[in-house]
Amino acid sequence: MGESQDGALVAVGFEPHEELGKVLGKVFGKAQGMRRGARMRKSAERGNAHGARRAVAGRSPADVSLLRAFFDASTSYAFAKDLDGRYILANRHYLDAFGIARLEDLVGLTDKDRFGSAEPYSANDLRVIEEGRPIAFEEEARTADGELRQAISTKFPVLDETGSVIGVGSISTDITERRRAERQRSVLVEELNHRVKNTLAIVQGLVRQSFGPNRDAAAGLEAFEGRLRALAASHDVLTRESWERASLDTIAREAFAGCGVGLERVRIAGPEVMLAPKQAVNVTMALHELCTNARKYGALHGESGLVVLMWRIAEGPSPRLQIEWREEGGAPVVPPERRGFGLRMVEGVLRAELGASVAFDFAPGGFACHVDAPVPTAEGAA
Amino acid sequence: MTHPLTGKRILIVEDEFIVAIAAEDMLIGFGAIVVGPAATVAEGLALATQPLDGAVLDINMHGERSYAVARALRARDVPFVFATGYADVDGNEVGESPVVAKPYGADELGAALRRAMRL
Repeated sequence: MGESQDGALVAVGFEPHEELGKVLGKVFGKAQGMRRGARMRKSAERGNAHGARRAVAGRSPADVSLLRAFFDASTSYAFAKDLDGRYILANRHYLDAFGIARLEDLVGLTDKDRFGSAEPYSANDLRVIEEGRPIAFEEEARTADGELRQAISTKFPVLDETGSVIGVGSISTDITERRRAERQRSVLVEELNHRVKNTLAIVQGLVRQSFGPNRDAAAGLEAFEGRLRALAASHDVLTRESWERASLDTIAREAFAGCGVGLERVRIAGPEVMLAPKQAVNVTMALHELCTNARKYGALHGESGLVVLMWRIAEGPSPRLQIEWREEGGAPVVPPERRGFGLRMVEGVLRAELGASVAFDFAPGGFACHVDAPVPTAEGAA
Repeated sequence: MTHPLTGKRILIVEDEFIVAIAAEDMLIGFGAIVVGPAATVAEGLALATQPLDGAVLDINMHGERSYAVARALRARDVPFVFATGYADVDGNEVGESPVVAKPYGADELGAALRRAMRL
């Protein structure tokens, strides 16, 4: 605060323009009551541009314009009010945020005028005036764009040359984006925690199914490692897509690659279908089981057979995704006596994740699996 | 010696199929009769009207919470346990029901169910 003869407003160090000068004179004349009133009125009568300019006497115009440049270039919101709660000064950033074209449109108004507040002063302003010292607060205000913005405000008393409080100044740093980032981070941490726990629960399920009481340990280990690789591959696909979605085509290719099946043994065709992360993980697991079965018992067991994986969208009032897995050119199919975990899983995950109905066909010419589901929306299950 | 859960009808509500069948196997291991697994809250609500002795409810179901199923079960005095990987569960909704943390073992699930069912 610089010293001034006419009032602390000018002590902020700006060369007020003519209009502002007039307003300031009026505002401060009233604000200071009798003691300062006469002097302010006198100053106002003289035309305040002149009066106010005198207030920054001792400062070169270069100093003043430098300060003005700092003030208006700042991305903080800065303003000052008199003791009646009337705005007497605000910087460009503040005016822009509240959609105020010119400083003159603000000066002289109170928060009661602007926002319909009960009191011209906020409780925070009053505290600063009463305690006579700078205090930092967290505040929020709705800006012209309709957004409720958070800020850290340092409010300080504006003093006259005798040390009396004649107003309050405020400089606010907008922390809306920072708060948003903090919320987003906490959502992500929560999401990550959930995903890890969920993945561990899936791994536990895979362990139970791979190492059943009646299974050979070596076969169990091989099955488990394959499933774990498929799970990891689905995570790789999703990581490339920022865990937002994955295409059925990409997932299918990863599933075959994960089983060590070259793409020359596979025909993959279908329109673009995007899956939500959880669907993508589970469809990968289902394809992995089908692929493993084909290698062990089906068309991929020998050297000649192949797998055709095709899907299409059946248009209609409620479009359907129809996926067909068909094995060709393998040894004649013998229907299994007992459905193992693999096919139970294929049916279960596709039903649970896609709401699909699943049919297996152990035709002698080659095993087939038909899936019929509502068309997935990638925004669906997260 | 038979397990206290033998012959009890237990509903499973769990949207992760691989986890659901692990729970199913654990319950079958106790000699229980599994109802479900329900993969959605709607399926869970539908199955909650069946004769039941107990239930295992996953809390987070496709982004939805399974509390509606919990309320339906409470209204019928069917005891149940929650299963969740979430650290923050809604205390008001969970109430006195036991909560098992995922991933859970068969012993933990069995003990929680017995506590809920006072067996």
